[in-house]
Amino acid sequence: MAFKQIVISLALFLILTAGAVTVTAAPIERCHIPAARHDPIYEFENAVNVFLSVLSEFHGDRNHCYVDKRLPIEERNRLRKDVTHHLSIENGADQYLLEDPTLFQDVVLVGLRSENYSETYLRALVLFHPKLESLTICQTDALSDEALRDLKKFGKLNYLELDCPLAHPQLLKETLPLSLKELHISDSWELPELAKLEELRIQSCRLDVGFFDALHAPHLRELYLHNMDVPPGSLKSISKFKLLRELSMYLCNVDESELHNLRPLPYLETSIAMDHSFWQSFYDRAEKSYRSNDFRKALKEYDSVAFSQPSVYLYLQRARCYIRLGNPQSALENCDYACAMDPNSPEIQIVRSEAKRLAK
Amino acid sequence: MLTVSMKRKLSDPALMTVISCCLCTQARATDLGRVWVDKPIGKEVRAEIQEEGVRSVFTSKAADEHVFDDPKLFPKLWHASLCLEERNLGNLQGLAANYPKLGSLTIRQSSPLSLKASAFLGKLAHLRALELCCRVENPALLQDSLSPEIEQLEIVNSNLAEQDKLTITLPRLRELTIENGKLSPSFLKNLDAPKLDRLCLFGVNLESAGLMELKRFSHLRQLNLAGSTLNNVDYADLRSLGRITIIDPANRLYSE
Repeated sequence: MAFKQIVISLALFLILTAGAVTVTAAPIERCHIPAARHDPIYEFENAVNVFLSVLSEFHGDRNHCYVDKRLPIEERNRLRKDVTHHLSIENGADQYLLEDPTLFQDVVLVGLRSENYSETYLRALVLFHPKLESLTICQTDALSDEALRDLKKFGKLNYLELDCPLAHPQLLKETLPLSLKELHISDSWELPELAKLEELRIQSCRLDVGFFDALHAPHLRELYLHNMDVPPGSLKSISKFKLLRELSMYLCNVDESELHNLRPLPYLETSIAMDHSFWQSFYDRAEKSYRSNDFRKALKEYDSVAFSQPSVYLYLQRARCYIRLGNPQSALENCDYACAMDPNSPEIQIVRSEAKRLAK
Repeated sequence: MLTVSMKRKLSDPALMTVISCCLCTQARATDLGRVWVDKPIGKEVRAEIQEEGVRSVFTSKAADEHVFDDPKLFPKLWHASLCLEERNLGNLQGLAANYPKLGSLTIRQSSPLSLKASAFLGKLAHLRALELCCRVENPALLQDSLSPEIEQLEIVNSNLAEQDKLTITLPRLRELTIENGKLSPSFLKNLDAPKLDRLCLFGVNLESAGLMELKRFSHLRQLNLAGSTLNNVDYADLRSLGRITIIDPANRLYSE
């Protein structure tokens, strides 16, 4: 019976790990649409990770620990002997969990997702785990000033997620650790100069018009705006981030004209991801205009889509519009773009020859 | 497996099957078998549990009060965690009758621990670790029910430490945690624990008189005062306990 269980476990493990590799190794397209939280792939990947963490626990490498209630004495005795790198504290965990310095001695990543005691936890973390590398605080109550000041004491923190309101957001300018490489915030608070910051995520708020203007993050490479109100003029200063390689906006309320503030593309490889439905609306309008021979309008709509989600088809459609508008040079240019994406497409050659004929 | 994480995963029946397989196979390999009982144990599972030699049992809401009625079900049982409220008594009785060599016990309930329960506790003479998260109906009776083998004692949200006349003798006690509630100065005075090494007073109301009793514990090396309220405490007195490392996140001792 035990042998049967071993075989079943091994088979399931292999299937699930194979699945995990497939999911994580999937090529990332230049302009991708970020997966929504309810995405089945995301859920599957999550389930696999949970499963793998269980396995790792059994293999003596119990490096990830969830706590959502008071740990019984025997569990704490066991954890004292274990190596825990990643700790998630959820609702229900006891207030003095982190006050015991003999527990979680090796922890470097902490998620505080409890509605209570975050100040107590933070104070204990400062005292016993000052070399923390990653910290997530997720709560509905405002984070107190005292807790904000404690953040400064984590000298090696490179990841911080503040998914909570702040009692006094202006304190952030003094209290954010300057070692941060990745920052997630839930409001467009004023930030200090973050020389090492490479990734910034802002979610669920109205973007302050002057936010990017005031932000000093010379090494910013990735910027994500999620579920945001993006008022006119607020994206203007984005072009100052010369190392930016990815700008993702999804579920954002952004005016079409605001996107033009991002032009011209200051950096060749920057990709802009938006909701599929958002871009689909441009695409649908472009197709409609093209069919009704309104090529000038179609070109404008195709521009909006191609700008963020370029494809061979879109460049060819643009080329066709330019041909109809009597501009063979621009048509050839767009054929070149399409050819760069897919050199073997016979359709490109057809459109190119048509443009060349017109040029003669 | 970690209790809490297992509880999270129970919600997914498909995943639970996988985890169960792991639990059974790995428990054999690592001898860390733990079972979360959240329903009456069926025949099939019973056979598996018996075969795998579970060491820790955590009972939850939907479990019945007959988890420990069969002395052969958990031949390697070391730790039991009872969080069943009204069903704790039946399970405590089962433990006392069938698993007298139990090494570690957690009792968590909102109602006070009854006299009967205290009597059952007294039969667990080999307990090394006890976590009592409830008030006690008759603390005087409980003092005689505590196993002299206890090395770790945790008293949480309890009235035990409030008692003035309670004399507890625990010759092997190394770690004592008192969490939330009052600490009577006499409690530490009457505590006979010559080997006490670590004392945690979390969220406790403290007075100087009680803390001065710490001088009696010659082996005491660490005092944790996180979340505690210090009333009329002379910090100089505390600092004079030089050989003891005092953990005070509020940094009251040296900030004057």
